[in-house]
Amino acid sequence: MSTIPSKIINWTILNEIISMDDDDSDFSKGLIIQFIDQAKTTFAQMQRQLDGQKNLTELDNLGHFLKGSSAALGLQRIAWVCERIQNLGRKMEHFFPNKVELVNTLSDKSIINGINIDEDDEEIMIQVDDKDDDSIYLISIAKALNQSRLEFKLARIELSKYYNTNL
Amino acid sequence: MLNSALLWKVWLRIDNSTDKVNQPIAVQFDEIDTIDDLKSRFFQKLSSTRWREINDNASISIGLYAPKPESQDDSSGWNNSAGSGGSTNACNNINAKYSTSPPTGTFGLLKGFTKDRSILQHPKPTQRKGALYEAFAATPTVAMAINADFSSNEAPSLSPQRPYSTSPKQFPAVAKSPLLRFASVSPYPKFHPDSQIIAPTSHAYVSPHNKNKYARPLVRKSLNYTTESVSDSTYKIIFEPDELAINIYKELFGTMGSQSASQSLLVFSNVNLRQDIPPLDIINVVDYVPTTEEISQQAIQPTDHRDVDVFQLDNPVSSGEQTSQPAKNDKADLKDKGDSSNPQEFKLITDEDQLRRASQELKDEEKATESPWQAILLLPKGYQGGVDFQNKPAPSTDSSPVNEDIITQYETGVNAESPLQQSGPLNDSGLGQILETQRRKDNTTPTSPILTNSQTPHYSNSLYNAPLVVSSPPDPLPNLFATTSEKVFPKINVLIVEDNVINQAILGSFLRKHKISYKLAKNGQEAVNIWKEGGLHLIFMDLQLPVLSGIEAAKQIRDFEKQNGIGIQKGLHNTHFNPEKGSFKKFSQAPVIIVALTASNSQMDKRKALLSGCNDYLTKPVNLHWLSKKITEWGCMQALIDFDSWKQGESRMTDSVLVKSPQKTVAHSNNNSNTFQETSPITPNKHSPSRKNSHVSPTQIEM
Repeated sequence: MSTIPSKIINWTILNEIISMDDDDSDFSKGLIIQFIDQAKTTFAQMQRQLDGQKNLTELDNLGHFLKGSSAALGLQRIAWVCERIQNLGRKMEHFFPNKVELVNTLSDKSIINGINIDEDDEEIMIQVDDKDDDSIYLISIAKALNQSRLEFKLARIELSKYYNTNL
Repeated sequence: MLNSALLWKVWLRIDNSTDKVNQPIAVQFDEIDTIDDLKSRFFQKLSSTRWREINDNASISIGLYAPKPESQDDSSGWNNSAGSGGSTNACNNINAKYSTSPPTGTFGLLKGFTKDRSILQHPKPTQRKGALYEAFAATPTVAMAINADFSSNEAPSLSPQRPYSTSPKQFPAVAKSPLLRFASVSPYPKFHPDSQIIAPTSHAYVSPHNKNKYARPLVRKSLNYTTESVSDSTYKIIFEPDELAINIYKELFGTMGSQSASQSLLVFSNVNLRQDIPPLDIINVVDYVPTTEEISQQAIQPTDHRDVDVFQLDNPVSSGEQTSQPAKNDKADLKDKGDSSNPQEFKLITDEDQLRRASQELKDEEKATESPWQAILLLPKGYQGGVDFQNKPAPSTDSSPVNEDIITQYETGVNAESPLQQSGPLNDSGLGQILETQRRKDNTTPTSPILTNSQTPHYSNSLYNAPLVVSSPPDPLPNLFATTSEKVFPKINVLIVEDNVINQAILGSFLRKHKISYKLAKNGQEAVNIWKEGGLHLIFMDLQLPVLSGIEAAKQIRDFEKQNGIGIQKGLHNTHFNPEKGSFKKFSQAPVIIVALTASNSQMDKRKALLSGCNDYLTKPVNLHWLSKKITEWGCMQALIDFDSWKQGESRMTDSVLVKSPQKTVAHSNNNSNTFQETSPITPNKHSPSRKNSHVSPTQIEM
């Protein structure tokens, strides 16, 4: 497992997108808004899978899907977490780090001041069944999903600062 | 004696390259390598550069410049400095001269340099003569004992280690040795203040007090080379392709590792048409602007390099003038000449700003007048050839101080219809392919490559430039041409296969910005279906997709291609995208290029992608600069594979419609699941309905 990037946004990547604003002044902002919707939807789908079907392949696909767009926009910490979800769904990785550990990797920790990092967490309701091989992956994915919600929140704060609007 | 073969390397530098940065390149070689092998290695080093694209093994040679024999007048200088004391003085003189030159600066040598050339003569030993001098002087191509020539500058008394030292001075024939007095025209700018390194191939022979440093074993092998006269006082020595590199190295530089980068051998290219300009050291390239006279000479004799004496080195004053002549005068001259002698007018444009203005003027003018048509001819950066319009002088621009794309604007008579006539003795290497130079009144359907808003930085500023340079004729749809540098991307149709709308939007927006037509597919099955409709050149394929993965889709496409002989058989009927009607027709003969979009860290994905038939991959997130570079590259590749259809798609479309339309039932029902206009409904594993309206050649196998 690679280590999570310390910066929320990879500006090299996002600036490439922003540079296309020349033609369409709201192009990048539109993409960000679209992404916010997409992320919310995807998180909800993941949560449904965890609560219901518990289909690891579906979770892999959802993780991959959101990884693609978040990486394309330079939202690299979200992309990293999504990749974990993808790999956990493929059973290529077997655990997910703790939230505190990951938050400590942030290069600019001031951003977490004043927010409750546990606020958005959904409870993990996985029945632990020793015979169910998938359990450890599902539990880890649930942890990762909570982490991705936190990362999503941090990214929105950063992006809102940049675009000077409440995204 | 020569033990570590791995470390053998020789420095090579492209001769007369106009790039500001033209650094020597080290090429490794081993004992059995010939000049020809060196060429290949050199090409490897420069792979993916434009220079590489326009040159091949046969068009380049490796050699060096050497001075021609002196006239008798000059020999007095030698006499004065003969003997050991004299030699020291001579060297000191050299030092004095050289030390006033900038240590690493331009190639220019001081004016006085040529005037006082005789001072630079090195002491001429008086004992022996080069065994093969006469023979050498008599024929242009001989096998020659180079060591004899090279060592001829050294008095045996001063260098007892070198019994092969000769005394060329004693014999008239000697004076014709091209290897004499190398230092006086050395193309190498870096002269060591203490004269230890005066010129790459002369140091060992020039400075008696350096002999220990450069002492080398006597090599008795002779080298095979040809000579070519460059000017009155300079020869070019070109080594034969089968000459062993090691021999040359030992002859010129001594033991392995002795050659420094500043002493690189030169790589001559016959694509480079400016060989009639003397070695770069004689002219300060930064200031050098060709005079009208030179230009006309070039235009008239663009390919004859032998014995073209543009610069008389014996006439330092004139060369000095040429060197210092400012560009403005030059242009004025040119214009005057043009006004007085013919109706053509040339204007040099060397930066983008000028170009914009010129194209605007052109547009304005065009609306109003019946005057002769104007066109802008885009020449690639560092264009070397003359452009001769009906044998009139044309500006040649490679030494222009502004090292940008060079544009020649010219005006021609309306009656001059043929672009081929217009381009005259244009360099036939493809350096500047002029696809269209002349506007025709009835030209309503430009078949030129896709328009783009702006040149990509890669295109204009790097060696990466594709060789296809398209001139922009004044166009019936002038509003589409904001600048003349627009049409740099090849006309290709791209399919984006990507399930995430955000990534679709990014890629799509990028392609739109570059005016590249594209379609979207959101899964592998859609991709295959759309591909079956034909007309695609390039597919960007995400791998992990719903319904049908990118890997599977790529495999299916390759299977279909195989079944249909695409890319294998000739005679498959070409059909093409018709930009006017917006319809895609059947397969082109070339296989589609599939580029996988993979996660950056997944080696497995990359492997799988290539195994499934993808040609290349891009890692996500896609770097857009990289992407534009790649689109140019792939597009040009397609153009090369299938140039006819790439170029003539338009007319062929028309032909085939006219000829074959009775057989066709056009079924263009729009599929709402698809994002583009011309999607025919396709049931998997069955014939595409649109296939029926294609003209299937007998050789084509039904899918």
